[in-house]
Amino acid sequence: MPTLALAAVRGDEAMYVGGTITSIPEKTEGRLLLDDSAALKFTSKKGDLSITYTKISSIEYGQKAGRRVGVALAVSPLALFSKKRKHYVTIGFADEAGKNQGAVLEVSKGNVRSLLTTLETRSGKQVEFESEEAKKNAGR
Amino acid sequence: MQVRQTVALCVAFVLFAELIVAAVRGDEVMYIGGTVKNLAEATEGRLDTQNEEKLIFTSDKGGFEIPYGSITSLEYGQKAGRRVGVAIVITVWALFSKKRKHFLTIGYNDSQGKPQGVVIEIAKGRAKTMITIIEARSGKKVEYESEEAKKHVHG
Repeated sequence: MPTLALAAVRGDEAMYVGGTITSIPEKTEGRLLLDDSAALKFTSKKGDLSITYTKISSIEYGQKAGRRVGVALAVSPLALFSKKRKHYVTIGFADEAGKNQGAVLEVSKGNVRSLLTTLETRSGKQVEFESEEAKKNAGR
Repeated sequence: MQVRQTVALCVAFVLFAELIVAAVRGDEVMYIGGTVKNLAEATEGRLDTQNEEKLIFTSDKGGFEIPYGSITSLEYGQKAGRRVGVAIVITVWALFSKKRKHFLTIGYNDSQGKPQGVVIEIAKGRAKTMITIIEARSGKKVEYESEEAKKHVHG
């Protein structure tokens, strides 16, 4: 159970890890919608978030690696030799009232590259990679 | 019989010591120290980041508020140590892993314009979000005390 709870998001899933958006609880799972060319949208059962691309002031990408302890205990100790990575995109932006806001989103491994490209293209801001490893992992 | 009692006492002491020096978890934070009057050092409490205007620390022993607009500096650092207590009581393998404590130092001006500062210990899983919130609302960027600290938060 702890393994499931701590598992990285997959596929089209995303997670609002936390930030200044008080209307959405921390660690809320949902989906990121990139269809709207004006705003990035996060939808979930607990609340929605819309970030206008032109109001984005910063984009950061980082990742966190950890051992697969849960899988190792439940399935095979060999799992300890591989690492699971979580991928985080931190977006700084101004809301409709012009107030600075920040949101940390966990995204799935397969969506990192397209999300970063979309964010950069539509916002006109460059992604800051939090480490060389993160940059490499994003294919840059 | 006396040996058993001694061993039991030692185990209890080690476990107690481990609890005392354990890092904060979840939503807990600890006021490590600083210039806040009438608040004892090493006071455990909670940090309210829901309020849009100010950061609020509350505990049974007192608290403080820091308006985001008055923040002048933010620093993040960490301290790593071996899990000696767990190693003695449970398994020596614990010596191969490290426990890390995460510290956020906030410099700010009080209502009279006097510089103040607090050091807060935050839980490992909360560092990234807390830093994002405080950076967004204060308009200040966190200074990382080392590359390792930066890597630990951001990856």
